[in-house]
Amino acid sequence: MLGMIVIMKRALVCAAVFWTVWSGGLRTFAEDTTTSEARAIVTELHEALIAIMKEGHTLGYQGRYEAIAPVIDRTHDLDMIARLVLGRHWKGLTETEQAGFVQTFRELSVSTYAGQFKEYGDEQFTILSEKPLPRGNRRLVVSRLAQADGDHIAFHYIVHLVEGQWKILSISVNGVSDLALKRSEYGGILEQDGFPALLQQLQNQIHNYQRGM
Amino acid sequence: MRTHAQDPKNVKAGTGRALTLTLALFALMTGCATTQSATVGESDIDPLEPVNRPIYWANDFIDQTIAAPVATAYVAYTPSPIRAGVSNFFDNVSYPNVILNSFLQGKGDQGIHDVGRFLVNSTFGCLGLFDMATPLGLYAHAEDFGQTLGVWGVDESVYLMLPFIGPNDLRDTPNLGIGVVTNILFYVSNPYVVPVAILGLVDKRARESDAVTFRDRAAVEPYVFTREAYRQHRTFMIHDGDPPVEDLEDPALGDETLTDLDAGEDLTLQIHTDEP
Repeated sequence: MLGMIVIMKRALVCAAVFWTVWSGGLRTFAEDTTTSEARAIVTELHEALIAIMKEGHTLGYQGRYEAIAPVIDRTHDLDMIARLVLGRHWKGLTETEQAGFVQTFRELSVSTYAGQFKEYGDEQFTILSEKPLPRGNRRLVVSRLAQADGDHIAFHYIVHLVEGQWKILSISVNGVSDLALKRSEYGGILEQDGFPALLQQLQNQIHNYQRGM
Repeated sequence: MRTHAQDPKNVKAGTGRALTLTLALFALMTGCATTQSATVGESDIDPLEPVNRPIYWANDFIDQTIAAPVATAYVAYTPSPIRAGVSNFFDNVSYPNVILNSFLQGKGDQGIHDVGRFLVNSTFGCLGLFDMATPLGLYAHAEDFGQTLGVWGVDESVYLMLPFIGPNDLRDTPNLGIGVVTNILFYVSNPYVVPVAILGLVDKRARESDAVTFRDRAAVEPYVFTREAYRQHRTFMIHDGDPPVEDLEDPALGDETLTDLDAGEDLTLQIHTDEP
């Protein structure tokens, strides 16, 4: 009887060890996969940007807009970015206002890419590193844009896993976070002039991009 | 800002006015160097906002009416290789400030590397007109005394918008003086140094044209945009391009979060708080 117990204990220990190794292996495999997917989403954005820059003049603003819009939708979590940009002001808006802001913010984001990335001068993106972040399912992807004159611009992307897909939450260029900039700007306008004024200013900006200003 | 040498009692006749002007110009140059990277901060970092804002708009008016047109004409009528040489020259004469601050930050190897870069460019590079050091692997670094104070743990304290100079803060203002006295041109007693210094200003402004254009397109609140960009970029510089990862949540939310959706929960808005 005692022998049976010892054998069963050994079997349980073996099973436990096996399970630990197996599940650990699975976890490692999963991490490797998701790591490449997080990096891939940034690469997809880079390639799309280079493409619209190369064809910038041929496509025109509208062409660049239509080419980059689906890529932005696929690679960015614009709903969440819009919430984060408004920060403490988000919950003070009605659902209609929130929806209106998200829609305008999306248009502005796509317009900004279409308006700013319109010329190609032999720039090249290179992904330098990727690491997990302590909070949530987030990773930091660091890349570099090499310009023809030898200068480099650092891009830091915070991406997160949402509904099984990696999406960009924040982009910092040489340390300057677009999300943080907009939060400071928009917060001030909301407090001083109110939501309609903010929405109007964002729409003016979209029109400026459309007119090539 | 009034430096020691700007005090008339401390300036000798003859080269006195030239030196005074040179100092003022280099103070401007140092400031211009930071203009492209302005950032916005929260109100507690900007208690002087009622004063800073009018100065910002005055600076912008001067920039648009004088500096920007001059820089545009300079770019339009000066061949690119000559402009590159001019930029190299001014980078080199101000490089002792980088060397000094590399050592002050305890980066001994980098400091020695910077000395090598300065010597190579000052000699083989024809007084810095040509960048002969980079192909040899002696890459440029970007250090200044404001960054050194940051590395030593000094915080930015108060955001400042300085007349003619642009965005700054209390931690960065000492660098205005140190940038002057570590600049090789400060020790050149020759009337030609004045037009040279003016050329340096034009060169700085020309190099910032893209950043200014970007600000004009992207900013809906240019003063805040400039302040936050300045602050964030300075943090980036202090950490040598590897700053702490930003907290995506609005600091004013405290314990509340808007992003606890990472785990894949319901995508409707959730506000979490530890308060009962």
